[in-house]
Amino acid sequence: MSSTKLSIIAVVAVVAIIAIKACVYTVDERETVIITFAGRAVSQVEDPGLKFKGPVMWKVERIPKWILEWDGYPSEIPTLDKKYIYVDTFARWHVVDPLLYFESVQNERGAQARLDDIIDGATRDIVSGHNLIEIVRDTDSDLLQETEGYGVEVEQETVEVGRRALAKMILEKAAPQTAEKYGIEMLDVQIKHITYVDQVRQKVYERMISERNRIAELYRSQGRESAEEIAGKREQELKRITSEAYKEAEEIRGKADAEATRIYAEAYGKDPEFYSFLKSLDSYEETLGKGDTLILSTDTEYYDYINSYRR
Amino acid sequence: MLDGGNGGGHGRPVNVRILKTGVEKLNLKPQYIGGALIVVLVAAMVLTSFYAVPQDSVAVVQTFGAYSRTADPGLHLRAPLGIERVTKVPVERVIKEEFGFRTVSAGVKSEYSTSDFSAESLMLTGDLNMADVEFVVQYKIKDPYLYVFHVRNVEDTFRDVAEAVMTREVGDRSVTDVITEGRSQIGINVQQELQDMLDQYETGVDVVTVQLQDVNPPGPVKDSFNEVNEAEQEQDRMINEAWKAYNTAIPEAQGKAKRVIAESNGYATDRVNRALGDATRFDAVYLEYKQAPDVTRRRLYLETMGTVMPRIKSKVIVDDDIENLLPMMEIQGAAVSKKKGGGK
Repeated sequence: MSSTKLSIIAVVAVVAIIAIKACVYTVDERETVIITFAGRAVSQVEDPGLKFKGPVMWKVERIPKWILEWDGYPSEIPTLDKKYIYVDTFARWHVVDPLLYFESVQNERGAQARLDDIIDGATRDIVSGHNLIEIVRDTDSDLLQETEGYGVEVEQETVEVGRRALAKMILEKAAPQTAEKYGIEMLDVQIKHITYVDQVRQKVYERMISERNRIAELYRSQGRESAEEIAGKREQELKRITSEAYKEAEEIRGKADAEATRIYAEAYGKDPEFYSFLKSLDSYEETLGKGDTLILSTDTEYYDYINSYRR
Repeated sequence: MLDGGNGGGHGRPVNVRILKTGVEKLNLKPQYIGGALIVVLVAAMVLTSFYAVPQDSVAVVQTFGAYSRTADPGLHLRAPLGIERVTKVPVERVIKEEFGFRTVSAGVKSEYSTSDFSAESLMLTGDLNMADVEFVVQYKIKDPYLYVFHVRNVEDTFRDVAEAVMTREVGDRSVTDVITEGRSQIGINVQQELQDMLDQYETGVDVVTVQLQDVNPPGPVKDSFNEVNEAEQEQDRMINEAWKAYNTAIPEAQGKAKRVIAESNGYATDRVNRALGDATRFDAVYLEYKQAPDVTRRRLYLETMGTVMPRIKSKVIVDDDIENLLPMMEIQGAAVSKKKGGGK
C-alpha cells in the first residue's frame, strides 16, 4: 500500500465517522427524544434504541420519561387555628406531554421551578385552611392516654379531614395546573414532615412538662390513696380478727360456765341442805384465822356440853 | 451503582497518544500507523467486550439505550465500544436507610455521627406533643428493571416516602403510645404503608423491615418523663409498703386471736374439770352421809370446829342469860392491860 492511498483511506474514515456521529443517536429506555430543527420541534421519538436524523441542524432534546422527584423546602405556614408550623412536602411527577413540556419549561430546572411555585402555593392554601390537628393526625381514632383507667378525662380534638386527605387535596389543587400548562402529571404529593416553629416549640415543651408533672402527681396521689385504703383494710381486718376471737372465747367460757353450773346443780341438788352445811363448814375453815375474835353463845351446839352440868 | 462500562471511551485516546509519541521517537513509517490503529481498535474491542457481575447482583444490559436483557452473576460478553451498556444492580444485598442518626462505621462498637439529625426524627404526635423517633428501614431490590428504568433516584424516593409514612403514623398516636407500647405496631404499620406506596410508584424495591431505634421524648422534656416513671415507682412502693404493713399486722393478730381462743378453751377445761371434781367429791361425801346423816353431820361439824378453834386467838363465850355483853368485854380489856402493866 502506498502512503497516498493510506492517507486517503484515513481521511475518508475520519469524515465518515464525523458524518455518522452527526446523523446517529440513541434513545435511552428512560427518555423521550424530541428532534428539533433550528430550535423548533419536528418529531418525537418514544421507543429506545439506535436512531437516525438529519445532520448538524437537527438537534436532539432529551426529555425524561421516568418518574422524577420534587422536594420542597420546609415553609412556615400558619394553620387555621393560628399555629405556626413548618410543612415539608415532596412530590413525584413525570412528563406526559414531552412536546408541551419542552416548549413550556425547556428543561428540568425550569420544571422544578414551576413545581416549586405551584406545589408551595397549593400546600399553603390547604394547610392554612385547616386546623393543626387535621394536618398532624390521619384518622379520628382514640389516642392512648397515659392516665387511662385513672378516671381522668382527656379532651381529644375531633379530626374531620386528616393528613392523607389533605395531601390528596394539595395534589388535586396542584395537578391540573401542571398538566395543562407544562405537560407534567403530578402523581403524588405527600407531607413529609411537620415541625413547630421555634417559639411554638418552646411553648409545647412547657406544656408537655406541666402535663407530665400533672401525671406524676396523679400517680403519687393514687399511691397515697391506695396506701390509705390498704391501711384501712388492715385496721378493719384487725378489728374483725380480734372481735371474732373475743366472741368465740366468750362463747367458750360461757359454755364452760354453764356446764360447770349444771354439774354443780346436778350434784348439789341431791341435798341442798347438806351442801350448804358442807359449804359453810368449808368457809369457816377458810375464813376464820388468828386475828379474829369469835364471840360464841353457850347456846351453840359446840358448847352444848359446857352447860351440861346445869341441866 | 450506575456503572457506565464504557472502557473503550477513554481507553482509545490514551493509546493514540502513546502511539503518537512512539511515532515521533521511533520515526516510524506511515504504513505502520494504519496497522497500529487496527491493533488498538481490536484491543479496545476485546477489553470492552467482557464484564463481570458480582455474586450479589444482576446486570441490566442496554443496547443503544434500549433494554435488552438482564444478566446473572458471572463473566459475560457484550457488544463493545459502548454499544451495549451494563448497569449492575445488587439484588441480593439488603440496603439500610437510617433516620435520625447515621452509622459512621459499623462493627462490634459501632460509631455514630455526632451531627444533629433531629430534623428527621423530631415528630409531632397526635396529642400535639413531640417525640424523637429514630428508625431504620431495610430494603432489597426485587425488580432490577423497574429499579433502573422506572423511577429516578429510588434511594431519595425511598427516604422521602419512609419519612412521610412514619410521621403520619406517629402523628396519629399519643406521645405516650409512641414512646411505650406503640413501638412494634408502628413498625408493622409503617412497613405495610411504605410497601404499598413504593408499589404504587413501581420503584421495584421490597421493604425488609422497619425498626424503631431510640424513641424518646424531646431533650428538654425528658426529665419530666423520667419524673413520671419515678412517680409510678413511688406509687408502687407506697402500695407495697402498705401491703407489707398489712401482711405483718394480720398474721400477728390472727396469732393473738388463736391465743385468746386457746386460753378460753383452757379456762373452759379448768372450769368444767373443777366442777366435776367438786361434784365427785360431794357425791362421795354425800354417799357416806346418807348412811348415817346425824352422826356424820355432827362429826363434820365438830371436826371443823376442832381445826378452826385453835387458830382463833380470842374467843368469847357468852351465856344466853347474860343481858349485857359490853361490860364483859371491858373486863377482858382491863385484864389484858393489867397483864401488860404487870410486865413492867
